[in-house]
Amino acid sequence: MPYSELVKNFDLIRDYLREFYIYGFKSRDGYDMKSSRSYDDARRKIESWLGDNMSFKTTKDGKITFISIDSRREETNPFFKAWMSKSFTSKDITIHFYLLEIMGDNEEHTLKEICEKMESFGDSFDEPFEFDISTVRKKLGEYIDEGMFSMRKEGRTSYYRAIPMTDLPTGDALSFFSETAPCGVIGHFLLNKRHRSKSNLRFKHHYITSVMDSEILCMLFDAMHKKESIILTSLSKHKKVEVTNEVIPLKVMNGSQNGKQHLLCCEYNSGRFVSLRIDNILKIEAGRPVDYFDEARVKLDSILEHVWGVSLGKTLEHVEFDIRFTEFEDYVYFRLKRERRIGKITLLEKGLVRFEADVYDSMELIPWMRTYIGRITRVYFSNSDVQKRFTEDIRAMARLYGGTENDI
Amino acid sequence: MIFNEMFGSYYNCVANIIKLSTMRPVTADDVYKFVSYWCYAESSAYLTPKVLCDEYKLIKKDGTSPLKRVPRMPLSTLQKRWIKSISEDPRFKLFDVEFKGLDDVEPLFTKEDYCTYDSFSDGDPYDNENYIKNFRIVNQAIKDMTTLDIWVRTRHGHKKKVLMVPSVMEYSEKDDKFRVIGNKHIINMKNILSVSPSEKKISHESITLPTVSEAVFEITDYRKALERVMFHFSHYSKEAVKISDNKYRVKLRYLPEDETEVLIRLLSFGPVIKVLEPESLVEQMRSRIQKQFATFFP
Repeated sequence: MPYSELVKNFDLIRDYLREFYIYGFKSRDGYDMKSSRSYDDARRKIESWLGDNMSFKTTKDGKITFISIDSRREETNPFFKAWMSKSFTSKDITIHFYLLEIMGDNEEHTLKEICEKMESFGDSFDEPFEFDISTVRKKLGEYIDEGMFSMRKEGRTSYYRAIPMTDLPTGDALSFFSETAPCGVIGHFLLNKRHRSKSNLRFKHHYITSVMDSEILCMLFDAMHKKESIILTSLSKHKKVEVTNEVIPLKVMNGSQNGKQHLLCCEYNSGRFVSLRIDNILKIEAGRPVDYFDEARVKLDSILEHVWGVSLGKTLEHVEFDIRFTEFEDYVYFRLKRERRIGKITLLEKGLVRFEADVYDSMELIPWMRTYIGRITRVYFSNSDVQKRFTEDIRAMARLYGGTENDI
Repeated sequence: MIFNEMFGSYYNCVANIIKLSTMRPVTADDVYKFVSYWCYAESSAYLTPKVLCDEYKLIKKDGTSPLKRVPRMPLSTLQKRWIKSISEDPRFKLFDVEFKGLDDVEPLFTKEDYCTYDSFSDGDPYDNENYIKNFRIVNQAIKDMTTLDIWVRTRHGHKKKVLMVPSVMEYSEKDDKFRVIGNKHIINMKNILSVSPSEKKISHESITLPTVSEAVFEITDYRKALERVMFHFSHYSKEAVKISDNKYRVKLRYLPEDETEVLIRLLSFGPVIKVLEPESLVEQMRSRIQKQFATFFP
């Protein structure tokens, strides 16, 4: 098959894009998930889509391909281009534009009329446009499914028409939400319908990879909307195996500080609440209606009152730590106040503040607590393993940065 | 389906070529320009006047088309549902938009379906009328390159006037804040008390972010450190190399103003990261860690 810069299935490219962007240190031989040929094909396509954002370097392991983007400097998410690379046949594109021409009068048309008009357009070319009526009917069905056309039947005759246009939001609103809202690529498609102008907006701390999971997210929202379970196949990165399970999707948790999205769901058979990385989800199939969906959500919300991040559990653990700051360092207190989430803070005395929380997984707080290293005067975890991890890590860090083993 | 050729680069490109053909015959040069704008680096080899004529049967050899209308694709149900969802977001009011025709459309997602759990709690007041008014004035001024008198509340509670031609508005989801940037000033939108066009005129300076600093650090890959670190810092421009079986060296580029933030983010990874450069950053890491060590292990 000759090379094409377009792709039929987005999943084929999703993993490569993520690998090139997130990691970017593997040579061709380091990609064990696909064949060398598929690697070459994917690399060439991505290079064609992303242009200057794609970089290369040569190491002793070979040529390394990576994507280097400072998302703060970008007007739009460069990965949107990948979403615009779906392949098609000549017949697909011809019928698409012929249909838009015919339906553009906002009148009703029968299938026979549509086919006759298409034939007349095709007659303008040296070789006539060849199509069969069933292909056109199928295409019309696709546009009806997308919600762009409607159909009504009168006797045995079907009448098709375009759905009237809806006003579009301003370019500014679309630019903003295409970068910040879930499934923002839909907003990018809408922006493409407008006259493009330079955007006034930039984004700091902007994680751009979650756009790769837009299709998965759409399916999850759809199941939540219908209050249905789903059959979900995901990759267990730890075990590197595919796992299939029936779950009730309840909420998507977005991490603005790590760029990860998690699905919080309830296992259909066990009733257990679990958290799954969305970028590990491979496939979603429709399940069945769940009459206790609302109750499950209420229960999840009560669990979330004791969740720091996305890790769910059954046993509560207590965490508390004290932080010292000088009279010129009030910003430390205010920082703690805005970052405390479900925790409680108490000013013990001038310059000494306590944070405390009861959570299902106190290990989740450790990275955040480390950002206060140097100021912590006391720390207590009811889970002794976590207590040990936190304090021993301080010892290990000190070893990394200073003196000899004996000094520390 | 989101991944659909109807929303793809080629279809967008061809729609614009047909649009031009409703006004005048399309030339090969026009096709090349549209392809360069809408498609990819290699597309001009695949989307040519010949293909548009012989294969797609949309543009004739003489550059005209049998199609006489500007192609207008109705919105899909998914697009309407997405618009409905964003219209329910409190930030939507900032953009002064009104909608018609979505009353009976179900949102694609709601705040019950999707939530950001770790944004800071002192985000901007999107329901505040004065904030909305100021946002819209600044947003319009960026487009018109207007000089503004901006009255801001300083960190110490004083009032201060800043003269600025705003260049861009920057949003951080983590901070849940907008900042306006222009003429070497960065102002939190939330701190703006009032804003109005100025009688003075100053020249517009296009936004150029300052030269970047570089941090070099090593990751020791245990406790899934590599995956966590690389994901966490993925929004920075960076390069990584594998230096041994479980060690990786990363070069991270950041703006000097963000050094403290980079420092505490590096600290958050504990002993799986060792900062090597620059010396100023290494020294700050060392100082904080040794202070903590002395508290825990006196």
